Amino acid sequence: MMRIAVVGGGIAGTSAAFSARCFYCEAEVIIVSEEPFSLYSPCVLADYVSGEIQRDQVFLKSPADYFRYGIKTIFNERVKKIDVVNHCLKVGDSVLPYDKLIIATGSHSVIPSIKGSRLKGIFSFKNLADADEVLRWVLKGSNSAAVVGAGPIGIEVAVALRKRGLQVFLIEILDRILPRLFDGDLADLLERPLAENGVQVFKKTKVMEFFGEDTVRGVELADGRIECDLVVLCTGTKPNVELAQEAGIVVGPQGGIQVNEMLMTNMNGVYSCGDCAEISEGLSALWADARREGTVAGANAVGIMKRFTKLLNLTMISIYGVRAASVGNVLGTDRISRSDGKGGRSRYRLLNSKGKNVAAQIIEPDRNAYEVVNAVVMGDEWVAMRHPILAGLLNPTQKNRLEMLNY
Amino acid sequence: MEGIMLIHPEKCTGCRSCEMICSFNKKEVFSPHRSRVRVLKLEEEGIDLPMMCMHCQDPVCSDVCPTGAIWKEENGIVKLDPSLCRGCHACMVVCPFGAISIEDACVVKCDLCEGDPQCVKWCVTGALEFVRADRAKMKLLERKAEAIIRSLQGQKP
Repeated sequence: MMRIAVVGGGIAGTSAAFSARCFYCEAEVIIVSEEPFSLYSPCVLADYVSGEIQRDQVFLKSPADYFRYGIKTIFNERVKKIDVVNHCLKVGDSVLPYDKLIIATGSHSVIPSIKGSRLKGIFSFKNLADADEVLRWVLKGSNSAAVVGAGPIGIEVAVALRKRGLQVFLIEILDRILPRLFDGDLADLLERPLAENGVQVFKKTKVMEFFGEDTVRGVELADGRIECDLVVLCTGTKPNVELAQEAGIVVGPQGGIQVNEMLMTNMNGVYSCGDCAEISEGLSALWADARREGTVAGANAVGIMKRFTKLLNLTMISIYGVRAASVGNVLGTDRISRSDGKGGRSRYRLLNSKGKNVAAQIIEPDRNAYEVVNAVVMGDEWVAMRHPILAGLLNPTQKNRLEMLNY
Repeated sequence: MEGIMLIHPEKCTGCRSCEMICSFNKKEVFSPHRSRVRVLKLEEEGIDLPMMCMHCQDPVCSDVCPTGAIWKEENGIVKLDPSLCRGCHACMVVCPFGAISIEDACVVKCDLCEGDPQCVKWCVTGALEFVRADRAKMKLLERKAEAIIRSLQGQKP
């Protein structure tokens, strides 16, 4: 019997395990996870902090679900070593032999090396334990909070804390919020609802120091100082590759585990997916990509060949009811030309580089949004693959309608 | 048994009965705005095309859903649970067919009426057809053959 070991119980690992089970029902699948919980959605953690949903609504799978699919789980255990030569994992005190291995160790949040960043009351915001800690601190009677980093997580956390009634300061080192997702003018549009609802945004400023004796009392900025008793650091993530690196697995230029189109690493029988995997296009720390990679890696591990070639890179954010979507990646492309479109309350922007649509930015997406997104990520090929009959009909209209959007 | 929705745009007259019955069946109002199926009118090409959820083999909407509110069932239907929806609209944005719409702060999509689509029942011209998966191939072959014959006869397909 084939045994497939999955390291990591996030969405990538879990979907890899389930897909391996679905494609080859005789395989024995074991998930080893550091987290004590079954699968939950980290995307809705901010909603949990704001009190819009209960804690049990965060979970996507119960322990019974794993049991029903015949997937064994080892939660709350750290994998100490991967032995690629002898095909076994060292988990706790025991040794777990495997035939195929899927590494889905995910990522960890980066704590910037700023003076005082280890004080009490300073949290990162990556997993459920972090959210629990932040919520506990809020309920203990916190009055004001500083959120460092205005990426999507930072903004969601800031909004959630504001909904809890705290005074919130959002600090960003660059000149706009959501710097990786939106252009300056669209980011300004998104900043408006934040300002209207009382989130104070500090842009183009740097955190010099967190001050306080034991617990944090404030933040020293380059151009001022803020008094607060809670700090949430949302300053990006880095892939967890130490385990793989020790086992001799090659790490790519961006710091993730290098995988090919079939999500195979340089070691035979070792696959990687999720935040820690780096495909030729680069890293992605997003939910949808992790889920799709997981499905592909699981299928490949049991010998069903599937390819993963393109990242979706879709980020959705809702700021006090103003929704925005960003698709694609502009990093590493040059000579970008922009074309704008309007429709009702919606605003579209398509970024084109050397005749190829590389990214789209949408504010208040409506029914036409899919055409813009299609133009970027999926392309005509993709539609054809999914629905060959319709593709012929859809393609000409798609282009026409996209032109119509640009009037 | 898995069923497949076949759409014959050349048969559609754009009467929009499907929109009416869909909204009535789901929301008890006759309002095309509330319908899960939309008839797209392409004036220049002279085509009316009913568009709805295609129940993809490998649905992207379920991939991007952060709360697991969309999944594909074993009978081929891609289902949506509104109680799990957090309203992020990611599925709406990625759907290659634009088949997901918003209603009361929650996304809605066609669920093939649990395997008994009403739009098919009320389609007068037979532009919508719901067939068993093993019959779908024959139907498509027939359609292709018809087109070939017509082009041989010198008519526009």
